Amino acid sequence: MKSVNSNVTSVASLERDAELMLRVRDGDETSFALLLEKHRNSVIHFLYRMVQNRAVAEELAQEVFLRVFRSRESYEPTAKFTTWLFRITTHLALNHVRDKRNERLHDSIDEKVEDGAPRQLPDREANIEQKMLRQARLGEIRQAIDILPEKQRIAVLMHKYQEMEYSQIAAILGCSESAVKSLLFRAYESLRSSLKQFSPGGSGQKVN
Amino acid sequence: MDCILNKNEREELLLGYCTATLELDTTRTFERHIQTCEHCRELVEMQSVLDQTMLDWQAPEPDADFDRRLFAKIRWEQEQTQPWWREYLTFQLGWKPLIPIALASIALVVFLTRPFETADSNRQAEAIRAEEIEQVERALDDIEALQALNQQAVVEGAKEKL
Repeated sequence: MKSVNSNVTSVASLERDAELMLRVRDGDETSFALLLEKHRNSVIHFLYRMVQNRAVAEELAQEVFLRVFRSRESYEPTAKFTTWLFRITTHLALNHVRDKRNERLHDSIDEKVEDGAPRQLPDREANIEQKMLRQARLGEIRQAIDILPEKQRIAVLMHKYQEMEYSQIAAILGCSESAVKSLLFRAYESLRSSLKQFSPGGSGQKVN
Repeated sequence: MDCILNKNEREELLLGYCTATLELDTTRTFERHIQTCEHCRELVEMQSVLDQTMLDWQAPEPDADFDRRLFAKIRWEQEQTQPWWREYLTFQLGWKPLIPIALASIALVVFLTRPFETADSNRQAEAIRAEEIEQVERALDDIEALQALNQQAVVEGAKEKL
């Protein structure tokens, strides 16, 4: 249950976003830089999990913020700034997924990223077997998310990683809250099914 | 024992419970339910494993050059995009505006100088016409004088014959 304080902070933050964007509308590029700093990572991370390719995610994120800047003169704070931002993000992500449906390259969980640091799971357990199990599950989940229908994928990524409420996801996708719930329920059901092989009888051991 | 919840109710409670977004009373009610409902208890366990696995999926941090590249694109676009009136003026900048200015200057000079030349030529034409008229009158006078002399000569000749 969210605390009152976090709700107040959230509301203040949202109003701040709208205020900054109105300043951008009036020509203040410093405010645009502040919005970029605040939302850049969440947009890139969402896009990365959508397309599962770092370079493509950054390219799409560049286009997202370009469109935000281009639209500055017509911006009206009729919705939350993040709703508007992720509406643009979702639109670009969907266009890319549909255009590149058969060409998308996957980042292997074993590949090193460009900065040279290998992608690693949080190293909380010293048990190698546990690490391997978690890596195997992660691989399954990434594949399972990748093959989800587009709107289910968007909904689950926004719900899980952006921690958006049903109402905001509905506003972004342009559908009702009940439709969002339906998308999420089906998505999570599919994802849980993909992990069943890892836990017959609760043992956590993968069974072929 | 079958679950008393329908599928949608179960899923909504499950997600709310696992994300800790349910109201306190609802949370306690659901906890009491999963103590007696094996199906929901298994779902909670599976969802917890799923949640943890999804949290393990870390997205890479953006490239350090991201912001610089973005602002470079914005600058480039700003240099390309101009309103139509600015485009017109930009087109006219440089050496090209000298042409219409030169043409306008020439037209102005012609306009200003042309009335003076016409007055002079009119005066000259009038002078020439006056001179011509005078010449013609003189010629006519000469012809009349010649005719008078001729007549006189004829008369005198006639007289001599007589």
